[in-house]
Amino acid sequence: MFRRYGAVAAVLSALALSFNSAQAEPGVSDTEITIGMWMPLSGPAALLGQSARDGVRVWSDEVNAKGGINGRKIRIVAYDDAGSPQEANAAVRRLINQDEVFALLAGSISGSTLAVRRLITSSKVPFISSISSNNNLMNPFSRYIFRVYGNEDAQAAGIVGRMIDGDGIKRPAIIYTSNDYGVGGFHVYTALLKDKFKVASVADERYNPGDQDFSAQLLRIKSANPDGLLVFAFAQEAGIIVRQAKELGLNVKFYGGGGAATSLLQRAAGPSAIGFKAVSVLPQTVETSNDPKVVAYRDKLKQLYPNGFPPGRPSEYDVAAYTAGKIAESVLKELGKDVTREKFVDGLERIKNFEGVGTFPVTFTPTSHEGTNSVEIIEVGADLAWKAIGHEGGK
Amino acid sequence: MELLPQVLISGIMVGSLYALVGLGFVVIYRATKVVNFAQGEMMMLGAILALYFSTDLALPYAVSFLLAVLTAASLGVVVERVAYRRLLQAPVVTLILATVAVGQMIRAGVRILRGSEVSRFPSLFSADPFVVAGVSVTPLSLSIIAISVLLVVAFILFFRKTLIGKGMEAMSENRDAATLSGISINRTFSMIWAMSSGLAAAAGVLMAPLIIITPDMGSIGIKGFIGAILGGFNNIGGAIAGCFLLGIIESLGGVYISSSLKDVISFAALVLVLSLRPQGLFGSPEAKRA
Amino acid sequence: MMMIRAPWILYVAGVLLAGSCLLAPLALGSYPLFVLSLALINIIAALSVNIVMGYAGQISLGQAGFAAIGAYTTALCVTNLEMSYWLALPLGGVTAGLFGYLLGFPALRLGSLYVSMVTFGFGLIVVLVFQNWYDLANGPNGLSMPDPEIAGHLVTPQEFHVVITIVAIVLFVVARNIVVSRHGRALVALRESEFAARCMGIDIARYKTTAFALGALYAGLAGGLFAGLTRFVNPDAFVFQVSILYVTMSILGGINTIVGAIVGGALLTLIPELLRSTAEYKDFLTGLLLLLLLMFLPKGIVGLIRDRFGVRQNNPDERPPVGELAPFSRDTENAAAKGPLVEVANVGVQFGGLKAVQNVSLEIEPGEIVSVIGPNGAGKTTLFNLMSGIYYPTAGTIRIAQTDVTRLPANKRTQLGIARTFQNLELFGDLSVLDNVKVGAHTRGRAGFTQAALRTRLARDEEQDFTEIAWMLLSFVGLQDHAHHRADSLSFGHQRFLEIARALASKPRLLLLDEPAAGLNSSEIASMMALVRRIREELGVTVLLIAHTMSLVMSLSHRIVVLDHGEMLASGVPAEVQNDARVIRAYLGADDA
Repeated sequence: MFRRYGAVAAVLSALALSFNSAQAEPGVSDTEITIGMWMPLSGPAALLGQSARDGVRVWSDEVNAKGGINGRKIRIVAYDDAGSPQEANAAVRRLINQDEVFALLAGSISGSTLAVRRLITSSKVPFISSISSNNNLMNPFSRYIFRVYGNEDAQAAGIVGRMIDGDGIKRPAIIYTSNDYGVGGFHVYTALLKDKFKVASVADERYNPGDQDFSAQLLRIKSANPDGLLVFAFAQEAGIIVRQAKELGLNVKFYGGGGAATSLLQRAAGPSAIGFKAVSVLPQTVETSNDPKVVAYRDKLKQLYPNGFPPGRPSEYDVAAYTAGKIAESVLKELGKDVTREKFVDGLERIKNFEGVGTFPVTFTPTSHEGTNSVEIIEVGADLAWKAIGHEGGK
Repeated sequence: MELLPQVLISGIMVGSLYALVGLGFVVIYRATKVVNFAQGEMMMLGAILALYFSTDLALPYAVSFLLAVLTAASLGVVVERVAYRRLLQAPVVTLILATVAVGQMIRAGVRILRGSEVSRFPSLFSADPFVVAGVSVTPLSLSIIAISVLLVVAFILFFRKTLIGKGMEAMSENRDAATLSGISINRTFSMIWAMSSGLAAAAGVLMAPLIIITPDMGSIGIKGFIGAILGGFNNIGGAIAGCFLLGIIESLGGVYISSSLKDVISFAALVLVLSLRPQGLFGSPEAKRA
Repeated sequence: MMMIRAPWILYVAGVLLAGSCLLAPLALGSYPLFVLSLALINIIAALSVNIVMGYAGQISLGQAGFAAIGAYTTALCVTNLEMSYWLALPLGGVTAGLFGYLLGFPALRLGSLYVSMVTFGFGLIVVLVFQNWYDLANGPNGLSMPDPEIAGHLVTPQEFHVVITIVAIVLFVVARNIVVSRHGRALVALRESEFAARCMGIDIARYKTTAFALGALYAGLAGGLFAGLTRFVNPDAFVFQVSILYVTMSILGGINTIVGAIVGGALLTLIPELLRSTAEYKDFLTGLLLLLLLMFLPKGIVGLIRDRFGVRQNNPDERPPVGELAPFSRDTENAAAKGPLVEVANVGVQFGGLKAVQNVSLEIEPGEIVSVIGPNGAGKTTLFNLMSGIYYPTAGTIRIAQTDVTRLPANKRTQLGIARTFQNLELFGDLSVLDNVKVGAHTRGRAGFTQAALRTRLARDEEQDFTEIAWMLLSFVGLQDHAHHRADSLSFGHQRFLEIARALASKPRLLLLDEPAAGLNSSEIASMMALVRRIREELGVTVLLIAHTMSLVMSLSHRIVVLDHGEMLASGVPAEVQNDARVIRAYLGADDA
């Protein structure tokens, strides 16, 4: 009994000892700025978390190699949340209260980001999000939370616009995943059809994350006889959906949200993916882009992976996190020696048409922290590669 | 398009996948009374191994298939030797939890090694649909249905006709009596785990072209088990019929009730059947105390 | 006072632990405090696993589903009904408990494997339902909850930590009170041998559903506290992996002991926090940890410490003043006036096509010792099973003390004064010898779950009464020196005597002894014979026994009944039966006894 109690006490006092509140501004010293990250490094969403971690790491290595920002080096503290809200809660509390980070970058998947939204806002820690595209992250408006790319509204609006206006779909249908991402997309789809395009959706179907068989949904959709199907799902599920649809004889045009816009779609769907149009939050695909800045990023990332990139990498989350770092850097540079969280937020709100790496230009204002609502429409070509076919939206 | 026939066909299609993985569950359960929660993961591992042999090592399809089955079977034996055998005397609960742990290790291990890689596996049969009487089917799905039926028949014959199979049957009826009549428990158990792991791998390779290979692919495994319970465990044919039935129930429920509550419907069916007929729909009641 | 008494050092440690948790907000920063709060919540969740799986032995792979119900009910009541959090929290717990109660029903008819499937499915469905329930539960986006208030004052995390600590302490004490009560013993009995538990008068159905309900209540409260702590609930927080995490906590600490929940819950909350930066291997390591625990440390850390250092809940030196046992009945006096105690009339039962017993009639007068003999497979044990309610006859009637019990379940018959032992010993191996006997006294208890949980006067008095009679019975059968040993550590002969003491603890009028002498050596047989006589003479209990040992049968019995192939061959005083030609042919001549 004593033994156990002793162990607990030792751990707790160790945690307590590292708690120091002497500094003027948390996370900032004369030589160092501490940036916190939490994200899924394990579990099904690990790809997103690892991309974000690497993007920020590439950025901080770059900054520190140049001697830091105004003499301060960047120190990154990153914790795994395994995509679980419970763990995200613990991780972010640790970042804010114990590690006393100056600001948070990238964030986690939506569930684990929404779970700590209030904590971040009430602790007044600046946070630039580059993973979650959930609308509720900005709702209600928080002075401390920013996002670098188009949210679900922008993504759904972009692809629905392309569907109805661009391709002239008359009988649209949707299948979406029953998570925050899919549901967000569904709401925008419904609202746009009703208010803007005055077209009725012939079928609305939903499935649960992790499902592997979609025939029930697809049969219902097929019997509604649509001419275009929006698949608001993550890429691997979207891939199976497209393939099963073809197997069931559902030959319509397919569209997808940002979640489908990775090469995992073609891996899962094979040739069935040809002609699939999706919306991308980036103006180009990171794996193949010739944009010199993206190429430079890929080269730097290669140093972390001398034996080749892991599957699906580099992804949009790489460059989005990298861009989030670049934005933080530019504000910190401008602030000079006098760095506080409040001034940092003010600085972020002055960001205008910031040219990131592989992203759309980012603009923040005191009333809008959505960096952009531009999206790119991309399509799977006959060679099974994504190619950009035009912008939608724009601020 | 004829909706109802199409729904039934795709139900049978899905059911054949459940049957493929359900068969492995039944083999283990009958002999050891253990629900192997790692069966789905073993299936996933089998598919990944086959993928590795055929794409990374560029071996022919048949060789890759065989190697994957053998590797998975050996792994099954190793896990049985190292972990499960020590737990034979422990309560069944412990053994079930051990399979949960093994499943988690396989899943996490694959994720560490392969990341969240998504792959498709080539198939011998075409996935291009053709239309028969207004119903769209693919050669691929027909082949899977045929293979699962063949496998089931093969296993029923194995248990009825061969000496090893009869020994395993005896073991499932009464472990002590089987030992007394000279059947080695350890050898039989090793064989059973090898067989069901190999079977899982085969199922994985066969169904890989229909779904996709990811670390989470094994989650379909539990459906095979539910189907087998629905049908009834003490009769392999019945258990497999249960798997097909589950596929059909899911398709019908998904199309005519609610597609997003498909899983809820299948679990509700399970609880309902178990409450009314604990031995399953096609099983005969086991002799038990009142 | 003869309560199970933990060594004082455990009490001191417990008070120190509770006190330091209560005072932690003064010393800890907000993050370590949050981790500590989380640990306490996880301890409550681990307790719920201990109750369902550790004590009642019912596998549950869906405890996180109950936590989800608790969390969502709490959050929904607060946000939609503007209910106070302090009302919503218990409501969430009770709602979860209700679901647990309902889920207990399928468990009644099904083996542990099916139960594992049903609970697994339940956990899955709960998450799916909340994920798809957009109108009420906001689907996958989850629910934000306002800060809990006390009289208009918003509760700070520091204050909320104190609340969590108090709830955890209360729940721990309640669990501990239940565990040491007759209800706790009944749960363990259920786990160790369902068959024997029924014959001890334990209502299996009620205890299984209650265990599920209680476990679900605990999990629900853990969920409600989690909602209050993070002020946000979404379906992701309650997935299958969380159920497995709870189980792992419980096993790590020791699933069969409630102290284990504290150790496991705390360790599995703290360790991942310390290892947070090495994430890639975490899932794999959690799986490995669970597997290694199951293989090498099935009793958990607390179990290990107990085995190593001999720390036991019972104080081995504890010895009550043993009084004299008063007779249980006056059946031995003036028997004829009372009418028969047992009337078995034309009873038969068949299994499938096999007629195990047919057309057996038997009357036993109060105070008699009657033996049932017959070759193997004659239907003797089946007759016992019919009389004790394990089987229902397919023909005929059974009356005990003029009450028709033909269709009465086993546990109800115990209340009418029937007790039995088993041919193949059915002791509760994991319980102490003393506790085995106390389980036998189960039906004599009046204090319900609530009274046990609160340790009311009635509950304490009753417990003391049980302990006293258990000690008296142990010295009656000569096992008082083994009272604190595990039942399965006794020698075979001692186990037979223990079964008799356990059966006597219900103060029966009729004792059924199934082969009490089987496997005993000759000196043990002699003491067994003496014991059976004393049971009749000193306690006034009527005895019906099955035996193969002819010396015992002939010298003990007032009457002998001979069964062969399920039918009654002969019946009468020993001398008659001994000389019956049919008996000699069918039985004595054929059997090696």
